[in-house]
Amino acid sequence: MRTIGILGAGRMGRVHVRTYEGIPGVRVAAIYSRNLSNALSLAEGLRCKGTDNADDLLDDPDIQVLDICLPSPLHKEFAVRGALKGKHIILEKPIALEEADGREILAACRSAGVQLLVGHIVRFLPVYRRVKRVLEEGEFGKPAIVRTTRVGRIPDSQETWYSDPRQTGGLLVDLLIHDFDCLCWWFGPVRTVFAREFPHSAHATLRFRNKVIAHVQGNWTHAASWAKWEICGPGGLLQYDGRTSSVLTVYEEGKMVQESPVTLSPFERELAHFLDCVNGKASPLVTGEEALYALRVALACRESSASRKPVEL
Amino acid sequence: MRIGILSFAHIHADSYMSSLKGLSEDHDIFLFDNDPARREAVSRKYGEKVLPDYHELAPLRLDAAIATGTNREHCDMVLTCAREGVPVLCEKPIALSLSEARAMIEACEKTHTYFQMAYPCRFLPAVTRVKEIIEGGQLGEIACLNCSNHGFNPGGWFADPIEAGGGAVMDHTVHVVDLLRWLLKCEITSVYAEMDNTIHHGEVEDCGILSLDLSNGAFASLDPSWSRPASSFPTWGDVTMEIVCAKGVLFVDAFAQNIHSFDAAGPSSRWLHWGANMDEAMISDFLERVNKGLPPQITGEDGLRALEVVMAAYRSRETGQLVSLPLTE
Repeated sequence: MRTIGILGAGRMGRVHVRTYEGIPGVRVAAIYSRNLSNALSLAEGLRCKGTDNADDLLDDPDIQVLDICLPSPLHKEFAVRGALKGKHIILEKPIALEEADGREILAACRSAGVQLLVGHIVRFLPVYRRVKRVLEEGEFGKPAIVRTTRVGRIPDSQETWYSDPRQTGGLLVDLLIHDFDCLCWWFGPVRTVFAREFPHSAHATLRFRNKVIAHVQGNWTHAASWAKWEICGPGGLLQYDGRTSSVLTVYEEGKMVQESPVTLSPFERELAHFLDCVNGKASPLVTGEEALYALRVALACRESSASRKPVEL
Repeated sequence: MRIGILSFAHIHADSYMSSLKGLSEDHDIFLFDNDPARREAVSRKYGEKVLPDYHELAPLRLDAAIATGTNREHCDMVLTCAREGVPVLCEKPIALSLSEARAMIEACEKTHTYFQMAYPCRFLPAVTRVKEIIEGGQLGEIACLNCSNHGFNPGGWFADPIEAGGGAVMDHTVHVVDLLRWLLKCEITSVYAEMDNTIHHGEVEDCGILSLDLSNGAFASLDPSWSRPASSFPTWGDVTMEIVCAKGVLFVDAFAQNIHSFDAAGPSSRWLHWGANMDEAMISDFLERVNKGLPPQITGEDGLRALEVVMAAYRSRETGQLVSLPLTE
């Protein structure tokens, strides 16, 4: 039995808590939130401890895994402190807002000998795993040009930190980092980026060292969240559109909700995978270095947007 | 009217021909083609005589001509029309170079010859509706646009650097650039481009992304790639624009009005377009303006400005840098 401490009782914290309920061999022992009532209300249903003192978790020798779902600016502090206490770290994306902070997290986990997984959830989505397999099987050949789009609503104003770009890192660092991570997973390192970022939308052109050209675009102006992409090469064209892949549409009281249920939710896959890593049965599907590299790409895009110049990586 | 189609090198010539035939008025249509094999095929297809040399159009006393040669031939065709004072509709892109384009504009000005560019996308009902919405102002200021004009590799002279002057970027940049300039009443002020020939591995580029700064402060990216597999994609390609404004988003998928058809005999599906015929609308606008002595809605200058963006994209490919417009030669 592995014992988990959750840091953060916001949207992601709640999702993770619910997900652990379905995974055998784990128990959530305590939930920390800077807002005590949030921690208590989430802890109540689980019959576990709720606290606004993070040391209650960090100093608890029974807690082996810290699941950090705190606002991005707090990632480094808690990941480093947790690693120093010998706890395995699962950390929401982005790894940090600055490269140096990410490096510190990596170094702390390495020297403490603990496992680290950054929650690049897209890697655990079946469609992304499927296309990775297509690319690896080789029949499709070498891709030439890729387009990705990822959109969502303007971040919820109730979770105040999430509507503040200084705390999220903005669209490139918070949202499009999913695509940067995925594209690097598919195509390797990036040579040059050229990007423009606006308050609620961004465009980036990535040129990979293997010559692939990728256009990554997204915005926070849509009424719903979805992603789509296409990959073209000599072997043909692969297209995915999240809006047309829902197998279930629920109409309720004038609202329409589309669902695309799968056997194992991506969160179940992600968290169960991390427990396998902790138990020595697997090594992280997303390495700390990869999470850091995705951040580097996002930050290079931001630099390009500010300087109006292409940026070499 | 007496109307000449000066070549069938460009695939659009057939569409213009059927547009002319579809008009309610009867016109005398004169066909030209300087390629013997194509001449024979066109003659067989339409059951008409096809003349070999468009330079000899004076005796035909044409009221209008359509210049649908290879990109290299546009300049000479328009100069020929200017010499004879024949109103001309020129296929896009205007020419292979900015100096050619300027010479064409000047020659037509000097002889007061009507000179129009063939940018049919301006005649799409979806696009005119977008113009209405933007000009209505209800969505507020435009921040950025994500645009595509995809197609398949047309092959033949389209992929020949001498006849076409480039590949996908030459072929597919100007439609959307013209829409940006027309819809937003702006100019493109700088261009960054990544492009390559990694889809078809031919002599010309077949894929790329253009990043465009606009004079109104907005930004647009454009994908002009030949990334639709000719053998299996259900249609020729697309024109799409996502327009992010201060108070909302417009998404245009200009050729989405299709029936999806799955042939029992065939291995792939096809889209049967039931939307507006933009070529017919453009041709009838062209003839009406010529008839009434009105100036063209889409000018040689519009051709030149869009070509300048293509040239800037090629320069950006060479230098790896952002290229400012207007270009210095």
